[in-house]
Amino acid sequence: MGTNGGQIDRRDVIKAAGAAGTAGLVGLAGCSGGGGGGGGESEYPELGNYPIEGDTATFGFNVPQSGPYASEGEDELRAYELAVDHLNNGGGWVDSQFDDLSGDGVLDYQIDSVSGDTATDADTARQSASRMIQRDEVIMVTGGSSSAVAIAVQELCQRENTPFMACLTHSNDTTGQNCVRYGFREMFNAYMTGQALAPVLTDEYGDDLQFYQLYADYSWGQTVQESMNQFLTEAGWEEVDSVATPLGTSDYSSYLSEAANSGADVLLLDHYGLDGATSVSQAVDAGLDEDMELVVPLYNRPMAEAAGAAIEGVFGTVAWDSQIDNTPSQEFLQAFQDEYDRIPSGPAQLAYGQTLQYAAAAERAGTFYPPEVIRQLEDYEYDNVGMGPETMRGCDHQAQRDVPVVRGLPESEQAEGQYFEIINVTGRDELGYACDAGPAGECELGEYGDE
Amino acid sequence: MSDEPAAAADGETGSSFADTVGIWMPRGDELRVMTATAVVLAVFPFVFSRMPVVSDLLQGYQSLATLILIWGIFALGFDLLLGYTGLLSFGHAAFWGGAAYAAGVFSQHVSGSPILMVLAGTVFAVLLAWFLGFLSLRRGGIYFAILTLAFAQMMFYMSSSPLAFITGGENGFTGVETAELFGLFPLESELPLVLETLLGTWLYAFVAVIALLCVALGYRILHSPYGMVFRAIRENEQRAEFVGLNVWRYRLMSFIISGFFAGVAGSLFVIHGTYVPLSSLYWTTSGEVVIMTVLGGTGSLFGPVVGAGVYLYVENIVSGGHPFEFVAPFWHLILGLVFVVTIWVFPRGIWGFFRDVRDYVTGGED
Repeated sequence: MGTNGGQIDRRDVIKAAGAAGTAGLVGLAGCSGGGGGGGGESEYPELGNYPIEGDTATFGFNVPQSGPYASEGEDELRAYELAVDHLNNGGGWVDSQFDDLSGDGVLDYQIDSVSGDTATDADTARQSASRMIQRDEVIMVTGGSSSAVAIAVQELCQRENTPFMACLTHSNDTTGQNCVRYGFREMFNAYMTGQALAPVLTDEYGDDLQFYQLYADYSWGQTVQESMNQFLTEAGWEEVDSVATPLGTSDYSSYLSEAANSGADVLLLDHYGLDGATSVSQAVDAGLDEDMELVVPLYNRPMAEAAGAAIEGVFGTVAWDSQIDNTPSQEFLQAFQDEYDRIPSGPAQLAYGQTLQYAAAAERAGTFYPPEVIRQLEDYEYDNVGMGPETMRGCDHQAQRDVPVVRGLPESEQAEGQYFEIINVTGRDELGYACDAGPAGECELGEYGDE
Repeated sequence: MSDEPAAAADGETGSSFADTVGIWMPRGDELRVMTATAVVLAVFPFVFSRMPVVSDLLQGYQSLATLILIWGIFALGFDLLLGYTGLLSFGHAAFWGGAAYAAGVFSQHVSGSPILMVLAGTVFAVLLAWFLGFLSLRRGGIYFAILTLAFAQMMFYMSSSPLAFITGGENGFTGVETAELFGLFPLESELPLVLETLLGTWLYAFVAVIALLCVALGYRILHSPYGMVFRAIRENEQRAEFVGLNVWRYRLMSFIISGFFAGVAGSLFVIHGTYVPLSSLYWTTSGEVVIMTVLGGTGSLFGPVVGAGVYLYVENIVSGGHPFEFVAPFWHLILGLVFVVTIWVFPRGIWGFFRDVRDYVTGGED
């Protein structure tokens, strides 16, 4: 029955969009003039899956449950389910950090969710997101763990007028040349990783060094390679070579032996997830760490856990870590541990935070009507997700935030859930780029959908 | 192991073969088959995604209904090669993906008209099939399969790196710009009146019409003397050669025809998804179409379409936690089980099973 109603909605939307045309502009003027008056849902036209049928709002969690990023996806899903629980029943940040949220659903709607497997593959992810939007009538899609996936899915979400809250995606392109109005990213990007890592690396290893890069051959790896090259070169280092490796490679030995013979002082492994764990382990097994310093620009807890002893002394950046000592971080750690009896990873914090962030924006807007929710998120200033004061920038939908730089611990010092130490948290003032510079310079967000 | 219903139909069509005036006229069973297909295509999206009780049980949705038809066309064309000519190609991703990229690039630079996109993708696929067929068909059996696989993987590699400036590499091709059908109807918009309830979107109607034409074409080919030769080659290559047939030429034509269907389907896939994933050229895509065809039943016109439906149903709906939430992460396993059980219980595929049941009930008479 619900499905039936939804089809009628969408048809009407398209009719309205097609026929009304300029009338929409008048509507827009009316809405923004009203100034978030809240109240009746019916004051907005139908768009995407708005308005919601019944009294349950559904979120779509599109995460990798198979493929090289599966363990990241599993942890994201735990955090998503925790967020839904807190939104409906209170607890965690809903009680302590997000004043906009009541802990009794969102805008008088109970929150429900559906999940899907992206298989770390853009096509599968798109099919899965399209199922959520069309059949399950989700009001928001979130997920990721691969930039190619995030880019493919957010492009679909833009077409379908359904907000996409990106979880782990680190490529510059996500909020750069492939940015969309309906996508928001809390995670920092490769550009900021480069800015945060370069000073730490030059301090630690000295100036005038040569470095060599192996990078995962897709959107994310390419931008990490570009950004690391840019910032290390600016810091006085010289790139010997950079070599692409296919996503999901299981044997890096031929790439590694070439790197070892290159005469470089530092080897950057721009791999993530299982690939990152594999390449760093194989590099250490091959004895590369004796002559070269290893750097993994982006890593996380599951990766460090899988790499084990190999992670010792390896520098990198992480999305978030439970060792970060501030109230929101510790509260999230506590809530996650109470529920699952394990320590959350960086992607889990992103997943949890992004879900609540969307819900809070809907509360502030007083509606789930996507353009209004988007306007609430744009240029929003917040300090409640454990990464210091942040701004969700309106010009490219990229959060301006701190970046933690970490170094892997030796195996003897590793304990459950503690595989690296935080060297410093690079403040957001030292990072980033203007709206017309860097990746943001190539960003054109597109339409709100109510123009 | 010959195909009894097909053989029967051939007898009837033989006399009208020379009748060039009536070349567009339906022959034999054609009218009945086409009408039945049209009816099924017309009610399928309604039953699958909107019918009150059934769609709740199936948990289907409009976009998947369209996708099933698209893969159905691909599998149908593949079966012309595998099931009728007896050649196992393991590189059909080259035509599917190649057409997809061609149609995508065409839409960005030339025209976004859906019809022209299908035309562009199909022409590319046919030319490619002619070229690859010319090279691969020098060998038979496993060597042929490996050669096609190798060529397809070369295409995959080319589009992943050296040609990434056109194809977008691992990110896939995101610049697809589809225009309105006939310059009037946006594909995603709903059809007017009762058609909306039945078919849903213009996109589905567009795909369904092409699917119907493809079925007609497939049926016509298979029931022509030309299609007869394909089967003769499958049954006994040497005997076909001694009769005086140029086996190599017929095989090449069969390969090209099959590439044609893959091209049509690949172009529609782009129009449907407005995106070309790099994986559309990967060997797993070739594997998927082999599985769909065998699952549905080789050597039949509709078997592969059914196979595509079952495959995509598991891939898209069971993987989303239907009918049981806990099965979602195991959908790969379920797909494997469905395949093994089907092949084990009905060696002639799902369609073959239905045909056997029908023959049993009607005593073998059609």
